[in-house]
Amino acid sequence: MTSTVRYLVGPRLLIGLCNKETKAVEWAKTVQEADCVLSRLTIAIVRSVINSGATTELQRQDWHHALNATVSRMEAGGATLVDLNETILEKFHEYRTHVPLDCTTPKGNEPVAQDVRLLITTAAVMDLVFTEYADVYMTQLQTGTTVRVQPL
Amino acid sequence: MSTVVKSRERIGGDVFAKALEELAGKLGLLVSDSPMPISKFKSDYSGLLRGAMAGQLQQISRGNERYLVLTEEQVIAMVGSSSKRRTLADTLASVQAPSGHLDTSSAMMPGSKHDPYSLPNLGA
Repeated sequence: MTSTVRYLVGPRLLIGLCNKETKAVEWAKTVQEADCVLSRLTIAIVRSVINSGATTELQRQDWHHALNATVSRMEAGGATLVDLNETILEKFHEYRTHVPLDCTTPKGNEPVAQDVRLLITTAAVMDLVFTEYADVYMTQLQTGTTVRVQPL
Repeated sequence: MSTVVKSRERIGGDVFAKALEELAGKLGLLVSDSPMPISKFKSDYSGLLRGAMAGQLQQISRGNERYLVLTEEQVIAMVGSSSKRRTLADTLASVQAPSGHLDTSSAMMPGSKHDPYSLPNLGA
């Protein structure tokens, strides 16, 4: 029987899954692929992180390979890939300027970028649990919105 | 009670041994070093069954045919293991982690404090 709870995987969690970070792996032990949703925006963000964060071409290729393998196995196992669609974009205005939604940076708390706000909107529209590494905005979502979140 | 499962005939030894190792790994058991010939089994079946009860997957051979002897508990554990739902972690276990540290700070880039867009002041 498929669980009714479905999880929208955040970019930092996806990086953690690729890199086999303890937090990500421990979470992955509790869910099935069929309960996971990946936004193509999340994948695009991770691709961008790899391209800007890798220090050598070999490392870049290594990370892209891990990302491709992770995504393809999740999809083969029943995870759903979603795009930004008209419904999400119509709802986006609610989260585009929502305050407070802050992330932790070396300079202190700063507003969350628009790409993450689009993911938050995706979770809201599709009734998914936005699952991501813990940060200030995750708590703010829990207390100030109806978006379901799972901070790791 | 023990159950005898006949191995598929004429499977390459390495494939069968690999399958046994995998099964033993799933059930948390050891594999007997080599199959016990049926002639020896006839005279020493209690020794083989003791090994099975001690947590070893016991093999018997008759010519080129190989058989596996499983205890009641091992059969139940095997069924439990095969019906266990696979998790995302199981699926991703075989994906190799990339080497080297990646600077992931750009995964969460801060947005603008002020909306860069505004309506023109139509009344002015």
